[in-house]
Amino acid sequence: MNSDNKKEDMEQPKILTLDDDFSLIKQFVDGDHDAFKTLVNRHKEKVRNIIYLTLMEPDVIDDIAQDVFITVFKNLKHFRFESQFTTWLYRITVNKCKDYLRKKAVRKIFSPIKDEEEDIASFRINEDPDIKEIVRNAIAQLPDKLRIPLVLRDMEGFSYQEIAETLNCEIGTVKSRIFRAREALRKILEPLEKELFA
Amino acid sequence: MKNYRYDIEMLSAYLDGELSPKEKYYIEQKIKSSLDLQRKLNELKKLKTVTNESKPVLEESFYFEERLMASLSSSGHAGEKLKKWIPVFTFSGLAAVLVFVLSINPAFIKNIIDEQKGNIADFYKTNLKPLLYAANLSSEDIFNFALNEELPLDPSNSQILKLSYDQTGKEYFEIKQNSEARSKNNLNNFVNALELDDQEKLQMDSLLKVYSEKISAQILVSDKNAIAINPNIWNLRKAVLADIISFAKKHGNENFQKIAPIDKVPLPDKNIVWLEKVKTQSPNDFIIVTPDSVFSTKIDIDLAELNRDIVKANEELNKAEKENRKHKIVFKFNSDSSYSDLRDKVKSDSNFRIFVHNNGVQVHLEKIDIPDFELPNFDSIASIINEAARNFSVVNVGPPSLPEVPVSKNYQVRRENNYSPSLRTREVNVDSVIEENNRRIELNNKRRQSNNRFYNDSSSNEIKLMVDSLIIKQNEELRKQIEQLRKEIEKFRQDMQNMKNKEKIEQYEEIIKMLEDQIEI
Repeated sequence: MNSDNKKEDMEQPKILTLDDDFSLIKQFVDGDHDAFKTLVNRHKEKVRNIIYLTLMEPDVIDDIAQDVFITVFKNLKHFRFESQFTTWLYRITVNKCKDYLRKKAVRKIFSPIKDEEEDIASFRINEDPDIKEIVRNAIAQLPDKLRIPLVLRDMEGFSYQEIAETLNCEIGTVKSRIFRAREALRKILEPLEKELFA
Repeated sequence: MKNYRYDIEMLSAYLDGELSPKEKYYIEQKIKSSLDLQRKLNELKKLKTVTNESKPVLEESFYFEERLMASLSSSGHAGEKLKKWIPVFTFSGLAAVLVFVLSINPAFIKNIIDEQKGNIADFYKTNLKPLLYAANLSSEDIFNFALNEELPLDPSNSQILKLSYDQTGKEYFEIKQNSEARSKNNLNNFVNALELDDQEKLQMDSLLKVYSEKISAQILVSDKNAIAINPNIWNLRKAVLADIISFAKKHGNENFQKIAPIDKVPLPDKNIVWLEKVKTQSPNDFIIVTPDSVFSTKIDIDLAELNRDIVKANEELNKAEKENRKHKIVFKFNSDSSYSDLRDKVKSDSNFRIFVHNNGVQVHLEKIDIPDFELPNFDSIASIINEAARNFSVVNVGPPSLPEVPVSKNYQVRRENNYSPSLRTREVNVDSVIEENNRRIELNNKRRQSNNRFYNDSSSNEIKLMVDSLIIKQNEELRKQIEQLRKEIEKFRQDMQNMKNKEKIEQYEEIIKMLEDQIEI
C-alpha cells in the first residue's frame, strides 16, 4: 500500500505553474481573494526584510509592508506579466522605503534637533554592542544610494541584474554604487580594523 | 591612479561573480601580478563576510495577513473612487436633504452616532485574540499575579497588566512598561521555605497551571492597538491566592506559620474549588480599551477556537525553535502616539476614567461593578507572603560572617535572634509590609462602606475583621521588636564612647553598621 502511494507520488507530474506567482495573480484577477492571501504569505518575509535592511528602523517595518501589499492589491489587475512578480513587488517596496525616507527628511527640516537626537539614540541602543551591531550601525550611516544596493547584494543575495531592475537603474550604476558603498563602509570601520578583519 | 581605481571596482564585482569572462580573465591576471590587489581582494572578502554575517534576524509578524485583509476591507476602495468622481454640487443637494430629514426626525443624527459607535465597537472587536498564551504564562507568573496583582503581557516581560484599587476602593487596571526587575524565583523560594516534597511541589505547580488557560481567556488583544479585559480577572486572582494559601496551610502548616505567623488563617471549612466558583460569574463582559474610546461589551469566547490558537501558536514556536529562527508573538501596546487624545475622547459621564501617561494607560472602573463572590479576603496575608518570598534567599544563606571581636552578651543574643529559623519573619521588610497592610485594610473598609451588598454575609465579615485585627497585632509586635533592636544599638554606641583602643572602636562601628543594615532589610 505504502509503495503504491509512493509510486503515485512519484508519477504525479510536477505542476510548476499551478501555484506559482503568475497563476496566483490570474486567480486573483478572476476574483479569488484567497490567492492574494497566498501571495502575501509567500512574499511578506522578503518584503519585510528589504524594508528592515533599507531603513534599519524596526518600528516602521510592518506599517510600510502593509502599505506595499495594499498598493499591490490595488494594482495587481494591471500587472502585465512582462517581468517577474517579485521584481515588481521589490520595486514597489524600495519605492515605499524611499517615500518614507523623503517624508522623514522633510520632517527633519521642521524639527531638526529632535529628530537628530532620536537618530543618535536609535544607534546607541546597546552601550556594549557586539561586532554585528557595530557593522549594522556603520551600514546605517551610508547614504541611501549606496546602502540600498549594498544590503540587497550582501544581505539579501540579489544579483546586480535584480538590483538594477528593483532600483530601476543601469547595471553599471549598481556595480559602481556597491563598490563605493564598500569603500565607504571600510572607512567607517577603519578604527576597528583589527577586531573586524583579524 | 585611474586604472588602479578601475581595477579595485572590478575586484568588487569579481568578488560578487558579476564579471564577463573577458573581464574576469583580465582581473585574474592583474591579481596574480599585484600584491596590492591581492591584499585588497582579501580585505573586500572579509568586509563582505562581516556585512553578510551582520544581517539582522527579523521577528515574524504573526497577524500580518489578518491585519492586511482588515485594512483592505475597511479602507473602502469604492468610497475612494466615489470621492474622486462625485461632483461638488451634490453636497449642496445632500445638505438640503439633511435639513429636510432633521426637520422631520430630530433624532436622526443621534441614531447615526449610536450606529457609528456600534461600528467602532465591531471594528475593534475584529481579530481580538487571547494574548497570554503567547506570553507563555509560567507557574511563577501566576504565583506572582496572585501576590502582586501583575501579569506579564509578553514573554520578555517588558509590559505588564497591573490590577489595583484607587483611594475610594474602586478597581482600576493599568497597562504599562515593566520598569522593575523582579525576582524570578518567588515560587521556588516559597515552596522551598514550606519544605514541600517533590510530589507536593508538582501538586502546587499543577494547581497554578490550571489557572493558566482561564487567565489567558481574560485578556484579548487586537492588532489595532486595542486590549480587552474581563473584569472577572479580579476574582480569578482572588481564587488563585485562596488556593495558594489553602495549599500552603495544608501541606506546609508549621513552616507556613513561620512565614505568615497568624494563629488562624480564615480558611473555609469545606474544600471549595474556587475556579469553579469564579466560572459561575458572567464571564463574557469585557472592557475594551482602544485609541478611540473605552467601552464595555459582550464578547463570546470560543474555547475550542482558543485551544486551536494555542496549538497553532505552539507549533509555530516549536518550528521557529527548530529552524533556529526568532519567533515571538508580541503585542506591543503603544500608549504614546495613538492614545494621546484618549482622555479627551472619553467623556466625563462615561463609566470609566482614563489616565494616559508616557509609561502606559490607566483605566478606572467608575460605574462598573465587578461580580463578586464570597471569598475571604487574603490580601493582607498576600503582602506578607510576597515580602517574605522575596527575602527567603536571605534566610537560606544564613547569617553573615562577623568579625572576631569581643562582643557584649546583648549582641550575642541579638545575633541568635536575628537568624533563628523560628523568627524568619524578622527578615521581612517590616515597614513596607505594615504600610501595605494598613493601606489594604483601609481600602477594604472603604469598599465595605461603599458597597455593602458584597458583604452581606455576616460570617464573611467577621472573618475579614478577625484577619485584619490579627495582622495589625502582628505588625505592632514587629514594630516593638525593631524598637528594641534600635535601643540596643544606642547602648552599643554609648559603650564605644568609653573605649580608647581605635581598632576596637572601628570594629564596634562595623558591628553597629551591620545591625543597622539588618533593620533596614
